[in-house]
Amino acid sequence: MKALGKNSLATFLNTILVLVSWFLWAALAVLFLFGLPALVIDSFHDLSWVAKAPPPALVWPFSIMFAIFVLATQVVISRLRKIFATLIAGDPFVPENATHLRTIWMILVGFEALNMAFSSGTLLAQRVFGEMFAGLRGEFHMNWSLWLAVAVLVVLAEIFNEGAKMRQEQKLTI
Amino acid sequence: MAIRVTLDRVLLERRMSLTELCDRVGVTMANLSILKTGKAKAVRFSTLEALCRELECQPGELLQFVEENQERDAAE
Repeated sequence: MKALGKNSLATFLNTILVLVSWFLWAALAVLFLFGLPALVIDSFHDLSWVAKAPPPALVWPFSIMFAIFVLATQVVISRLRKIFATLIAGDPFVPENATHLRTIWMILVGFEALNMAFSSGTLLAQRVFGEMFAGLRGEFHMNWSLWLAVAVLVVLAEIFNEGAKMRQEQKLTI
Repeated sequence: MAIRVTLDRVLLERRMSLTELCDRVGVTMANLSILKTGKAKAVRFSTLEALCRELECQPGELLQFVEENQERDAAE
């Protein structure tokens, strides 16, 4: 399978990204249309039907975290699709791709920092409030594969930036 | 840029149009316009050679070094 152009690997991956994007929007819609209103109504307070449901006190923070996750992922998917569009067009060395890659790694760093803060906060809450937060995974850990991916993206962004500059110079070489 | 392309002056002296030069050199009108307007970042030796051959001139007649501040003064 070829990497660039129509009917290439880029087209296939682009289609997968569209499906993931739709799935995430659907998940967010389900959460806000059905999950959260259920909490407001007293008779639905029992969330035991949800696997590993968080304690009621943490439902809102969890929901907000999930919404942030979905929105951040949507931005990443949208940027990735723009990169794939240039790959499908057969012209990936454009300055915009460097910006897209930079945005993606910044979002990953931001989200992981938020995730680490949330995990640490949960751990702290477990120590302070005890049983109220029992059953939650409150542990601080580094996601090394994500930080490695961030490092790769930083390098790729700079490569694309330099590649775009070189291409521009090549264009203006008569 | 410190290097100024004086293609327009040489063309005027040779009474040759840019279109004619394009046909003779085998460079597109768009690329020669980039060169003529000083937007080019680099010139290939092969292009320079073709230009010099068709315009019967030396590379020094097509390119001129201008001091940055001199260029700024001229622009003002």
